[in-house]
Amino acid sequence: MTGRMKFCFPAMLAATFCFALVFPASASVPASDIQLTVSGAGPREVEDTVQQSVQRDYAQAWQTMEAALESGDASGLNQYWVGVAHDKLTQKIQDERRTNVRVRYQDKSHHLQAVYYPTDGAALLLHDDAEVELQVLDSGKTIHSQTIHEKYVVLMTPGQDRWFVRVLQSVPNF
Amino acid sequence: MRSSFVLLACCVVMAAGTAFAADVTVPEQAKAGSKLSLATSGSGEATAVIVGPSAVVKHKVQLGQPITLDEDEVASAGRYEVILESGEGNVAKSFFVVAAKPAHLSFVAHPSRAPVSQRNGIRGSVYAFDPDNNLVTDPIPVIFKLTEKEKASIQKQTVSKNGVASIALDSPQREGAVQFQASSGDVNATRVVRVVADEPCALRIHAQMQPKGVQVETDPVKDCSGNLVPDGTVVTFTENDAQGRSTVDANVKKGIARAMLPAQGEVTISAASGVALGNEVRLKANQ
Repeated sequence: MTGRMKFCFPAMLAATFCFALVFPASASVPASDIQLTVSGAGPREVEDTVQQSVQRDYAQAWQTMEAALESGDASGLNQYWVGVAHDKLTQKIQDERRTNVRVRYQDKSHHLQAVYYPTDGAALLLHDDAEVELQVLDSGKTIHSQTIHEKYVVLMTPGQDRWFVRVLQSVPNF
Repeated sequence: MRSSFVLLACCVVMAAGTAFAADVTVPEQAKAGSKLSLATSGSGEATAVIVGPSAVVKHKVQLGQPITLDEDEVASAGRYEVILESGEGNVAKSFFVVAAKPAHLSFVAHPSRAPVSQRNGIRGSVYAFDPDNNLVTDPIPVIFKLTEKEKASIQKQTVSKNGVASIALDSPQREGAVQFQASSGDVNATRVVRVVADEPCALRIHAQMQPKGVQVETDPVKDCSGNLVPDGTVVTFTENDAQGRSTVDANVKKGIARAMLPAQGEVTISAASGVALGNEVRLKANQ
């Protein structure tokens, strides 16, 4: 190991440690852990391929949302968010930058229930009973931390190769 | 005596502390897009951070005075967290904002071309949104109306559930464009559905000898409701003669399908389209 490398290695290690402290590794719910129930949805039966896609894409949507709110960069939202839901999250990220308040979400569990799947297959309406950890930081200092059990009404619409979240709205009850 | 006095003094200090502790009162529920006032208690200054579905706002607060949230600060439906930061520590409360009255309907009609006389052949789904694009999840009445030209309309009312109202209506017997309208209160949306003829119901053919073969054509091809089938509907003509069997596919144009068949000697010609079979025609062709 050269002298320069000897100097660099501990510095890199320290930098990695600091980075891990500041940006903890994402522990979002993987798609395989998202429970989806389709009985009771109709009038069309939810196909197996749609079930798999929705589980995968909903998990990805949450990951991109958490990352966007953490980094203050809304560009990643385009991958899984469209329409109203996309616009609202973008506005929230702009507000974060303006106020220097950061909102961290970490989803712990999702229980999805498909409630409406029209015959044309152009949308899928779901209920999500989720457990989410919320942390609010003001100028880098944690001012609030809480685990919330949230009920979301979710409207997803199909794109070319994935399902997008069009509406994500928390409600007091279903 | 002395101990009673100390106890009383402690109670007074605790009561005073409680009375002047920073706190905020939130409603259980509020309407989206309506100005909101949150009462605070305590003394001194504080900072209120409000986190909503589409907004993160910060207000300097004089404790004891209310926090006023403008319409655009509570425009989105969902959970709001209010965190009051003061010298005495932080207090957090949450409340829900729910969608206001519907302001526009997202109406999906399916299919855009429906065959005539189909049971539940025309379907519609309506998602209602308020002025701030929140999905209205409370049940609302939705009226669906299907109007044919120069005919009385079919009207059905339903109530939305989980943010969506849907309907399935029988398609009319006559082909043509129909207006499919959904309305809730004073908001409505209209789509146009083209009703087209169904599959052929029956086929009748006639044939005529020509120098180069047999000219065969159908009578006007209609569905079971008496509408001419659409152009492009395929009719298959089959010819059997001394040479064997041959088939020709012909498209319907303006209700009629035509074909020229090569023929020799005794010829039998028949036609079929979908489930409809035509009559048989027997001819003696030129040798």
